[in-house]
Amino acid sequence: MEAVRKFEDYIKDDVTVIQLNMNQATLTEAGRFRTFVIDFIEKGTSKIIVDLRKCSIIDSTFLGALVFSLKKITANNGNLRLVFNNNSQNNIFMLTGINKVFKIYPDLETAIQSFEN
Amino acid sequence: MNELKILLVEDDPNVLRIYNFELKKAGYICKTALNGKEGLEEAKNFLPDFIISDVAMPVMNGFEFRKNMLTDPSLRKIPFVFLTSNDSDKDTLQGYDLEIEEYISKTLSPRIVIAKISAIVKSLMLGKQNALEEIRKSAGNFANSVVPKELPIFNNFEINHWHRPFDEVPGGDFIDYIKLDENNLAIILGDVMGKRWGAWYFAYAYAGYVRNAVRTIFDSVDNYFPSLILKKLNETIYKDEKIADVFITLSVIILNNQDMSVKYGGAGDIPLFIKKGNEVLIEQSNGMLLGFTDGSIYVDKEYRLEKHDRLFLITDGILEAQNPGSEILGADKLVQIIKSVDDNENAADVIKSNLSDYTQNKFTDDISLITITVN
Repeated sequence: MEAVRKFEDYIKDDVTVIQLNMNQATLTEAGRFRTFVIDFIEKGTSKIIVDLRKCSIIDSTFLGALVFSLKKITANNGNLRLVFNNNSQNNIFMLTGINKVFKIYPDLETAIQSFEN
Repeated sequence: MNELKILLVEDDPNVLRIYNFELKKAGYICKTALNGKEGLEEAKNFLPDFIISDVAMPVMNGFEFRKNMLTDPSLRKIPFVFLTSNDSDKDTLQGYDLEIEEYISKTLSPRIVIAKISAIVKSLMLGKQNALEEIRKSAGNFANSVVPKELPIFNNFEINHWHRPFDEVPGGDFIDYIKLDENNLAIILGDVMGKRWGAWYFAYAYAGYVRNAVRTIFDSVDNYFPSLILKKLNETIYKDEKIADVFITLSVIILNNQDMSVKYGGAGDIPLFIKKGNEVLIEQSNGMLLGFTDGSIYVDKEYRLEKHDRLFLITDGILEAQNPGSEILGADKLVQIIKSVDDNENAADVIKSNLSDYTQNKFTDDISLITITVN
């Protein structure tokens, strides 16, 4: 049985999509995730979307990894946007206001389109 | 030794079967791959604690497999052992310095091979444990510097805190109380994003940074506003390359015991919870994470306080605390707990006891809570 990769990447319409196939995006995965994304950024990728729809828990360490990646890519004149169901007022994104740092979209198509504008 | 994950990469299905069996018997969790290419995929997903690999394999041989592992920062540190068929294999590989723990000959019986591997694993674990002990000892000294031992005495207010570092090692949280003058007390709660070894070191450095900023700015003004601190810190951190990539969240409140007011400002922090009678307000600072952009705007919020009002400052360790079913506490449940605090109860104790019940005393992060009660 082939294990599903935790981070899956593919290109759609010139945008690199990094899809997270895990329920919990937390401390355990944050370091690896950061390395994974920075690798793309250092190779010159300037349009990245992180698809977090499968994650029901995102902790602050993972958030830190996302923020770090965003800062790095914007320093290289690129952008990193998120696809996420930001419904629950309970979640860390909303509570800390860190969601304002990111452009967050409810679905992939809208997120990809945002890069065209 | 239990629950250690071993990845076994070997193209001969008979050898694979025997080693898989012996490894599982020895108590390891074992995954297998038939060549280096599969091994690479499996390593990325399985994240083994240890890798055993054959040398000659189709598609991708052991040598190429090892070279690929070394180029991946998240995989290169996993201890790696080659199973060699003969001495010339070993000689060739050694010539390339592939940072291998050991070369083990396949001619030995599988039981002996597993015993050798267990010995290597044990010594690696011991080395790691010793290093951890050393760090724990020196980290213990830092813990005393990032959370004050004594609570401040401030007229008309009772201030308490609960700080529980993760795993008994100081994490990224820091607390500070700075008396600005007879009537004004500044309270700081910070959290370094990121955990364990790196975080505690930065917490210590950041606590010093913040303390300095507070003293410098507030020495020269008559009016104290959290936004002044946050603005100054943001500018300084943004420009300082060394720390600009370490993000901290910060809550700053200033209590005034003359007009019974509290001013609140924050940067990417968990909101201030205010209990007034039976109501609990959740006040977001809306301040941008420190050091993220130049020229971030910070806004002060001010509240008038009455007797029995309570304020709660927390870091995410409390909100993200999980019960045995992996459900996080969340803001709603915390509000319920806060509402349940009676006027004559010690709020910090109530929250502590509720949280300990909820998590069955299993925490996954630093826990920091500051409670302020108006007397």
